[in-house]
Amino acid sequence: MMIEKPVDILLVEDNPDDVELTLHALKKHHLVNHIQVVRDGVEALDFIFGSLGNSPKVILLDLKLPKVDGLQVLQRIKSDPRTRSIPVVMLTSSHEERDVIESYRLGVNSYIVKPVDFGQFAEAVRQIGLYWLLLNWPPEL
Amino acid sequence: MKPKGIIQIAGGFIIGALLLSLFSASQKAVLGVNPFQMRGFAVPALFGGASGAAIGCLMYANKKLWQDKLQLEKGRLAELESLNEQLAREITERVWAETEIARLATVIEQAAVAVIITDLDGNILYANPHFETSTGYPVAEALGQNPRILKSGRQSPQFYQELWDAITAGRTWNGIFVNQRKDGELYHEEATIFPIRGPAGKTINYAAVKRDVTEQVQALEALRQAHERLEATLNALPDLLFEVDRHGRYLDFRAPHPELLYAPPETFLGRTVSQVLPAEAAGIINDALAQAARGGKHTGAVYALETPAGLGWFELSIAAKGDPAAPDGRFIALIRDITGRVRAEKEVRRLNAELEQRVVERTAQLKVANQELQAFSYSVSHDLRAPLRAMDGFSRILLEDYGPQLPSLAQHYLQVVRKNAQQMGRLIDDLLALSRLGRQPLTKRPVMPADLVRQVLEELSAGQEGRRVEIQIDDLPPCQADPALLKQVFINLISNALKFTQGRETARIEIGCQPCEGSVVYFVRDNGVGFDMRYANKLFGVFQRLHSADEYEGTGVGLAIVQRIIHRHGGRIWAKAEEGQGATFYFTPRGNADDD
Repeated sequence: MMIEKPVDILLVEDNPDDVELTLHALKKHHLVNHIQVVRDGVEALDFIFGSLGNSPKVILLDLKLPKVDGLQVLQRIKSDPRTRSIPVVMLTSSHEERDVIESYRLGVNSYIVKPVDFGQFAEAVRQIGLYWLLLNWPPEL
Repeated sequence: MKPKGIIQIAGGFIIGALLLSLFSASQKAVLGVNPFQMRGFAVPALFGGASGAAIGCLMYANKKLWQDKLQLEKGRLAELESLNEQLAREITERVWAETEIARLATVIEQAAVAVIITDLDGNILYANPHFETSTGYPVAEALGQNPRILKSGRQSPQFYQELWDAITAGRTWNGIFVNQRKDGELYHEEATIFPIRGPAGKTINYAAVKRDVTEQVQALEALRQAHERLEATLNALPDLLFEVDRHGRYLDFRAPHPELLYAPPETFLGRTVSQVLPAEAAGIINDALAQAARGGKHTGAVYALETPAGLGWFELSIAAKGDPAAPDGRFIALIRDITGRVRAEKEVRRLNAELEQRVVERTAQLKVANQELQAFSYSVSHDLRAPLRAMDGFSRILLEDYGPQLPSLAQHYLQVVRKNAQQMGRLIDDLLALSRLGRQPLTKRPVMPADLVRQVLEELSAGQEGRRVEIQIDDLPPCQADPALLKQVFINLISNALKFTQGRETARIEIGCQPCEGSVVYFVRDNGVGFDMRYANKLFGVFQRLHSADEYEGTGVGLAIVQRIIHRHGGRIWAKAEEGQGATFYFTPRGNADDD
């Protein structure tokens, strides 16, 4: 995979509508410049381990993904010293307790339930973008 | 006639008849005179007096004879002397006879049997003292009466007819009367009644000798009843009964169901258990017999036997007849066919095993079903909300980015799409919350409900700007509950109260408690629109709404969640309301802090 410029946000999301809504919300807040979208867990892992040394500032990870699901992706990221410090935010429809617990056990940095209401959803995406891209100070990789 | 004068001096006593007999009657005839016919004299006195009188008479007669002698000739004198000697001899014999009669009379008087003598009509002429003892009638009262005063009416006229037929025919009658004492009490007496013949061989009296046999009759009756009871008990027993000696020799048997017999009676009577039965069964029976010989009885021995009716199971109880240690001791062995029970027990064990297996299978199936259900709600959680988000999101984008180009009706339709998507989102969220409630473990601990209520009010206050709401929180005692779930209860009830008081100028909400049947009942009361109690049963059902969505928004799941939480606590929830007059919801999470 060719990487032309550094990626700020890696969005791992298989639902094209959710992708579009997320991008729309990010664009509205001028946060869409360096974003990469992948559609499943395999693509996500390929991208992450293919861009070592130039990792995204935050990964927005859905739980339910084709091929390799979100928790497995999370586990791979957090168990590898090279990727462990990349912030991962679960952005998912599930507010099942076990998903929350399992995500934190695996070392997720944040867990956000996508609201049905687009207003709330857009606000959540805005805050995530602002926080991780502007406020957060990650270690130099 | 001179002897007649002597009789007069003796006062008309029977002795007159005795003296008369010296001259004219045979001894036999005199003895035949019945002394008891002389009514009004006590017999012993009579006889005692009679002896004295006889001696007096004798002396008087002697003297008179010697006076006469002076005037009589010698030949006449000799005759008289001879006569006198004869008289003296006769009198001596009479005195002896009278003593004998007195002795017999005393025996009769003292006898422990009742003796009566009647005339030919049956009227009592004599009764001995025991008559009074046995009948209660004083002798003086009985005299002249007929013995029928003792009749109880328990015996047939024929019974009495046979008695009379016998004695009037000169025969002795024996029988048992059921008679009645003077005080009315019944008694049994065994009687011998016989005629007494006069000198001419004619019946002149009847005599009865009667013995009270009430106790014997009662004892016999008791014995008969005991026997009948035993007989009936044995008839009611379905069991085999054997009588055996201490060596296990069969002496007798009783078999209500002969098909249960291992062998025909002629092949086992007189032989021992060991000779008749297979070794294993015989061993068990002989052991039981040995125990019974030591302790008097033994129960509960069980053995199996191949009988003509198939393999049977039998339970044996043995008890000694009398002294179990006696060398000739006998034992009753009761053999109960428990084949049915043994089979039933086996069947029960088999069914139990089967049931356990089925429970294991069902549990596994339930586990699978539960997993499927979890997968389903997981899927609902993930997959149903995404399309809704798309519907809501793109409608909103349309409105925001292209709103000015859209006619107002199109804008309205987009709003409707958004509203419905959001409503469905809430429904899904509530349903998921409800389903989670069944799976989440309950963590009870002491909770201060007032603290929870304050938190809830603070959280809910955000949506209530511009409203006049008066809230009263009473003293709420602590209870044992899952704090998160109890908080959810207050959230749902108080937000309902806020929702249904929207139309009131001033909403009044009271959160309080009251004692009820030994525990504390909390309540949330409002002055809102209330509801019709006819629909109270629908209140806590999922998706049940008593108000239209236009009036009051909601998913119809909130109270179902409240009820589920209270039930999981083992408590109870109910409501009282009136249309337009507000509503009160009561609930009691079981296990108040005081109880623990």
